[in-house]
Formats: sequence, structure tokens, C-alpha cells
Amino acid sequence: MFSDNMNDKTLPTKEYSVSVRDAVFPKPFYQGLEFNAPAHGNWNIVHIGMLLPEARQIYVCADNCMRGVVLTAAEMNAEDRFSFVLLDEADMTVGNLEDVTIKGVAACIDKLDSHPPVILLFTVCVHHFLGCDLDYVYRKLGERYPDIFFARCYMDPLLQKTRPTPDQKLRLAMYEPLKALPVNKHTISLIGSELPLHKSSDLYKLIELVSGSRASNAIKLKEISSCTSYKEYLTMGESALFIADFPGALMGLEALGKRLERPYLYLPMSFSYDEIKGLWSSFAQALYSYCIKGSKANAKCTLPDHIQKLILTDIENQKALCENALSSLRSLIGDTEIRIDYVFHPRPLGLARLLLEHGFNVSTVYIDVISAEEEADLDWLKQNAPDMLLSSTVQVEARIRNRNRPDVLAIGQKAAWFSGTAHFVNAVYGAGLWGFDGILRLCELMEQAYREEKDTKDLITRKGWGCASCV
Amino acid sequence: MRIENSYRIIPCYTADVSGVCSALYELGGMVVMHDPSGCNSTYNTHDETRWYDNDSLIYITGLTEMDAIMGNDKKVVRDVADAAKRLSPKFIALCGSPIPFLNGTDYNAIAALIEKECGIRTFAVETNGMHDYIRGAGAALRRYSECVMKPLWDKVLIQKNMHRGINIAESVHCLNKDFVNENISQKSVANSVAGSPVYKINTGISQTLAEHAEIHPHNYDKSDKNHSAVINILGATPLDFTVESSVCSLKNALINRDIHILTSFSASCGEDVDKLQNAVLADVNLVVSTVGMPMAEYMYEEYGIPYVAGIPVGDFADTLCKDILRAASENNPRIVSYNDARMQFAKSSSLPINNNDKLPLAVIGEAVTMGSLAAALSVHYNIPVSLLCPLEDSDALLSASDFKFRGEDQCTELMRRFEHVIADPLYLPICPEGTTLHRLPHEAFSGRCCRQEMKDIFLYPYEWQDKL
Repeated sequence: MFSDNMNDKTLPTKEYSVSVRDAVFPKPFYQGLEFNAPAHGNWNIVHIGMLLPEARQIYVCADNCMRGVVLTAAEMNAEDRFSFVLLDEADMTVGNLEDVTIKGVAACIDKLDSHPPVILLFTVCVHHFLGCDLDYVYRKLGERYPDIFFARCYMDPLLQKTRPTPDQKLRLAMYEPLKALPVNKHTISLIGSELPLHKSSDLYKLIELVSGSRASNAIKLKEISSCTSYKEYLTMGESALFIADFPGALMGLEALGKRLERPYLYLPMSFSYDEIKGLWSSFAQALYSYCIKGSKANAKCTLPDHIQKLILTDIENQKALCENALSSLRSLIGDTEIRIDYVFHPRPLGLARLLLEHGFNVSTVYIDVISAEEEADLDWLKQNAPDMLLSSTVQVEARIRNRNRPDVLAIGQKAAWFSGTAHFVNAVYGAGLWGFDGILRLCELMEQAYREEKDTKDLITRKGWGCASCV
Repeated sequence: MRIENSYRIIPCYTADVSGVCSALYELGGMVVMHDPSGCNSTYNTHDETRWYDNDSLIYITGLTEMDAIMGNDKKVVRDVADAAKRLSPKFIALCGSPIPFLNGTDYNAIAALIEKECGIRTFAVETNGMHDYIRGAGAALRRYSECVMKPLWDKVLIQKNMHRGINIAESVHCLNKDFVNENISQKSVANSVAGSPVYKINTGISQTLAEHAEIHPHNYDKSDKNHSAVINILGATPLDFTVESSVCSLKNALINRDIHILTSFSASCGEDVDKLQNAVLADVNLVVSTVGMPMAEYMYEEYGIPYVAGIPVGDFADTLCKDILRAASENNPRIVSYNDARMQFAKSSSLPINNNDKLPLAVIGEAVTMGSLAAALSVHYNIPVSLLCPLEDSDALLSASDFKFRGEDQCTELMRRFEHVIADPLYLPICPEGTTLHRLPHEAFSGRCCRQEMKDIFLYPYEWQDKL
């Protein structure tokens, strides 16, 4: 169902843009034919999978699906960690896709000089559609290569609109090799993030605040992106606490925490002072409980008063810094039109809200589906900025819309392309912008984008922002 | 399962679906890939150089699990027709990926329903994402010819005939497909000098067409122009002609040899798409990549226009142009020019095979472009040069000294037989010891990875001068 009638406010629209006032939650736009903009900085499953040290990826699919992933690996100079099996019509119609997959993968492995410790084996829509017995496939491969851990990964976009996406499932699968090691209460792990957490992040600040100056209380934060070997990666299994800050990692976080019987905590990237304050409190309490006191999962301790006071004081200090930064930025850029896209940050509406609350001229958010995490922000925008536009990035007319607005300050690659501007913040997936520090760093990035032009075409067409690229 | 389908390190070539989009990119239509997700991104990221700057209406259907299982074709029809009404493309082309192949999607029926719904010419190109771009792009140009261009071409010929005093009934009779087909021995193969298959035409058809010379393009305005032959260029896409200047360089190489270019399919180098209707007036079709073969075959079957395969590169350019003239004047319908050139040279070569029993040089890649380069290198270096071809639908374009292969192991074994190989740099990891690989990036293989080192092959045909 969709709305051709602009007066019908209850159904998704077929228009390219819709005012926030009329936007339907969670899908403001009718899902028909889809365009794909030439902004490719988002990480795909190949980029994400390469974060697992020493792992090899093997894909089993048809030529056209393969082309995108194999060249992703080649562009990031990681073709030596990538193998594949091409499927043809006979493979799909004879009814032995299990054998085809097993033999094909075995042939790939047998070509290698040595066995990798882990293989991320990606099956595809075809396996699902034909009812391939994947349990049998993985069991047989495991029996044949007992020294290799076969992680169950999927490239099955056929399912992604109604079930977890390949990206979400990968962020779960790539932690499956972790085993429950004896708990080291001085270690926590951040799960499912592409890029290392910035050292100035609130999370590091809180770790310091809670652990204090005693070396014996020092807490180390581990991330997959910082691991240089498979052996080091496996030590994440000793973590006393698992955390994640990216929505796509939540499924993997929950699965890992439950499997290893360890506490876990979702700490989303947010632009709301109140929400950040609550997250500080949750994280500090979890750190104190599991890393200082060594409590078991779900047995939280109350934070001591002196730590609570430190935290509250710091929160007020950080808020003041943010207010100053936002005020200075507003003075600098004035009424410059700002456009934001959903690839830049998982909370684009929250970001728009923060900027609008501080007097910025946010005209458009490029977004196709609104996250449940942003429903409250949508409601706020409906009340306070009803004329702000939501624009689809995939609707058919997105291809031919005017892209000649070089005066726009874009936040995100897609916003830059759709605006045709060289003034843009070049980052994806939140870029590690967490909490108050995230807001401060965002202000810096916006100021830089306002003052300096970037080579938009060169930057946004590169795949996997932050990855190595031969392009 | 074929063991050669398992790959350790080299990529696969651009697939059929991307080939369709590439071939039709500049023709003013709308291309819809029936696919859940990914085909569009793969295509525009790795297989399309024009996506950022030049708008073309290329979309996916966003197929979902439920629609795939329940066969909800109505949604496809409605979505495509609705988009077409908004965007007014000149035509609509449908192509598909593996899941629609598995559920037996009837693209022709869907195309007919869309056309009925929106009134815009709609056709299907049978793809399933399991073949290379040669298959997809070739089929796309042929289907475009059949479904979009044929009525225009027929009209052009009828108007031309009327201008010359032939009435409509006679013109239509002359254009009747059956009329031509009755007189052509379809795909009866004769052996050429090079050993490659050449389609033989019955003596009768030549005479019959000659009797209707007024509609035969051979004689089109010959007296009014100063050119020795009028041609169409078929099969020029950025997948094989990536460097922006290369199609223009190709044209210049022909123009400088007194060949007049009527149209170019489908990288038009700034041409007006509306002029493509004049293609039927050409003397000869020049097939510049394997992609152009199905369209060339169609135009021969339908309109009797002969074709020549080759590109005017280096020392081979003169030979190619002579073959174009030969095709135009001698009713020689199908000439694989570079094979003849290489075979003639190879026979006269005085160079022995070296002491290691290795042949001196091979090129890897698409048959027509690399075959032509092989011919140019043969002449230039006075050595035999072989073509190693991993792409589909190329058999008719290979000579007896060429090799087809699939997969890494076969490729490595073939490379081992040569002292030097000119190939895309991403073949380097499987190049065996004792064989030297010289880099020649191919967009349809390495995509953007080596684009920075690509050069206009017409301007720099002998980049390896000091290395061979």
C-alpha cells in the first residue's frame, strides 16, 4: 500500500521527499524500484569480515553477486584472504547444492598453502531458497577440516527486509569462534564496531573514572579492530563485560553474552544529553559491578557516592563544553543549509534534533526507514520542525533530482552526493562519535567541512570508509 | 560441480546483468534488474564508469522473500509501470538474477503487461546473473535492435525507398524477415583460412539482394559521399573501452582511413541517440567487442548488412580497414579480421619457438579487442601472438592458435606455455614462474582496482616495447 494522495497521511508516500509532518513511521516511503547512489563509504560484509584476524572468507554464489564482494576484497588489498565458488545453472537445478558447496569450498581450501584458523563461509539467497541443508554442509566441512572453525555467514539480501540483515548476522557470526575463557575482570570488549573507538571517547573517560588511579583496578577495553592476530582475538573470551554501541551489533552482542554467560550492555551512540547521561550511569555501574567488584552477570552493585559525584560533575562539564562548541559553530556557519544522511550515523533524526535545538538550519534528512530508536525524535521533529524534509535515497526519482546545491553543508556522503556539495563531513556509521565527546568532535568536523572543500567524487566513491583502498 | 569454479585469488568477470545495464546505458531507456539487492551496487561500483556524472535510469526491483515464493509479479508490473509513467523513458528493459531464474519468472509476460500498462516499449533480456557480461550485453543490444530499433529501421528504409520511387508494398516485401531467412543458410559453417567458423551465405541471397539494390545499404548514397565505406560501430561499452578517449580514438583511427561512421552502439561518444535509426543505412557493421556480435548477426539476418570484427589498433588498423572495404564491396558477410591477419603473419613468421619450447607471447581477455591487439603485436614484433580467452560466446571469434579457458588452474597452465603474457594485473598472482606478465588493465575484470594505470590503447598500442 502507498499513498498517491498527498492528503492521505497514514500510508507511505511514493514521492521522493515528504515533510516530517506527514512522514509515516517506520517506513515513510513506498518500497518500489530502488536506485543506488554512488556513495559507497559504508562497510559491507567483506569489509566487516576482514576485521577478524587471519580469517579467510569464502563465498558460494553466482557471478553477479560474486563480482561485488570479490572486488571489494581486491580494492582493500585483501584478495589473498578471499576465495569463492561460482554457482551455475546446473548446480542449482540438479538438487545437490549441499555437495556442490562442500566440494567447492574444499577445493578452495585445498588450494591454500596452509589452513586459516577460521573461515567465514558465506552462503546466499539461493541456498535459502532451495532449502539447502546448511547443518549438513557445516558438519561435513568441520569433519573434513577439524583445524578450521567455519563461521556461518550469509549474503542473503532476499531476507533482509523482513529478517536480520547479512550485516547483522555477520556481526554475530564473527564472534562465534570466541570461547568462554576464565573471566578477567580487568577486561571488557566492544563488539561489532568497524573502527577503533576514539581514545577521547566518553567510554574511555568513564573507564578511567571508575577504575580510579589504582593500577590494580585498571580496565582494558578490547576491540576486534585492534586485534592483530587470531590468538589475540580469542582473548576477548576472557572479558568480564561485553558492550556494543552500534545498532547492527545488538543481535551479536546478545547472542555472545548469552552463549558465554557474561554480562552485556548496549550503549547506543546518541545526541541526546539526557540519554547520554543515562548511558554514562549504566556503563559506570556495569564497570564497577563486573570489573571492580567482580560480580556475576545480572548482579549489579550500586556505585559508590564519590564515583557518582565525579560522574555528575563531569557530565555537567561536558555538557557545558558541548553547548559552547555548538554555539560557536552556529555563530560561524549561521543559516547555512544543512543536510544529513542515515549512513553517516544511525541516529540521523537525533542529530537533526540536536542541531535544530541549537538554532541550525537543518532542511533535509536522507533516510529510507526510521529506526525504532528514533521514534521519539521523529515525534519531536513533527512538533518542532514539521516542514523539515525526509528524502528517500532509493526512490526512482532520486536518480534525476537536481544535485546542484554547492552551498549546502552536508553531513554524510549520500547527503553530499544528493546536494552536489564539496562541503561535507566525510564519515559513516557514526565514526566512533560517542556521547559528549562525539558531539564535540562532530562540531569540529562540521567546522572543517564548512571551511574547506573536499573532492567529493574521489572520496565518496571509495568503498569502506577508513579501509585501505587501491582505488 | 566443476572444480574450475573454485577460485583462490583472482576475481570473476563482470556478469551478465551488469552487461545489460552497460550496453543500454546511453540509449535513453530504463533498465530494471529483478533482484533483491546488490546487483545495482555491484554494477555501479565496479562495472560502470558513468554512474557518478551521467544519469541513467537503472534500478532493481527490491525482490523480497515473500514475493519470490508467492510469485508476486503484479508488484513488479505495477512498480515498473509507475516509475515509467513518472520518468518517461524511451523504452524499458528487464533482466534478472538467480532467484527469479529459480522461480521461473516469465520476463516476456511481465514485459508485455508493463507495456500494456504504461504504453512504453518493454522487452526482456534473459539473464540470471550466472554468466559474464558478453552474454548479457550482447543479448541486450540484440533485443534492443529487435524490439526498439527494428520498427525505426524499417521505417527509414521504406522512406528511403519511397524517395527513390519504390512503392511501400515492395519495400515492405523486401524488409520481410522471412524473405531474408528463406535465402540464408542459417549458421551453416564454412571454414575460413584461419580455421574460425564463418557463416556461409547461399549464393542465391547475394543475387537476390543485389536485385533489390535500392534497399541494400551497400549502395547507399555512395555517389554523394567521399568516404570509402559507411559503418556502424557495435559493442563499444566502457567495460572494454574504459578510458574516456578510447571510443573517440577508435573513431578517429577509422575516419583517418576514410571510413565514415554512421552510428555507435552503445558508448556513443556524445552522439545523438535519435541518429541510431540511421544504422540500417550502413555498408558494414564493425564489431569492436564480442558484445556487438549478436546485434551484428541480427542486422545481417534482417537487413543483410555484413560485419567485420576488429578494432583499428596499431599496425593492424590498415588491415582492418581493408577488410571493411572488402566486406562492403565483395558481399563478404562475416570477417574476423584480426584472425586472418594473425594467421597470415604466423605462416610467414621466420622466428622459431625459443629454446624452452615456450611460445613468445599471448594476450588474455576479450576476443575482439585482444585479438586485434594480438594482430597488431604480431606485425609489430614479427612474432606469433596467441589469444587466451576466458569469456563466453567467443568461439566464433577465436583462431586455431587461440585458447579458451575457465578457472585459475587452466589459466596458469596456459600461461606457462608462453614467455610473455599481456593481461590484467589481477592475473599476476596465478602467473607461473618463467612467464612474465605485462600489465594491461581490463575494466570488466579488475574493475576500478587498476583504472589509474589504464591508457588509451589506440594511442599507446605498444606499451611493452622495451619489455618484450
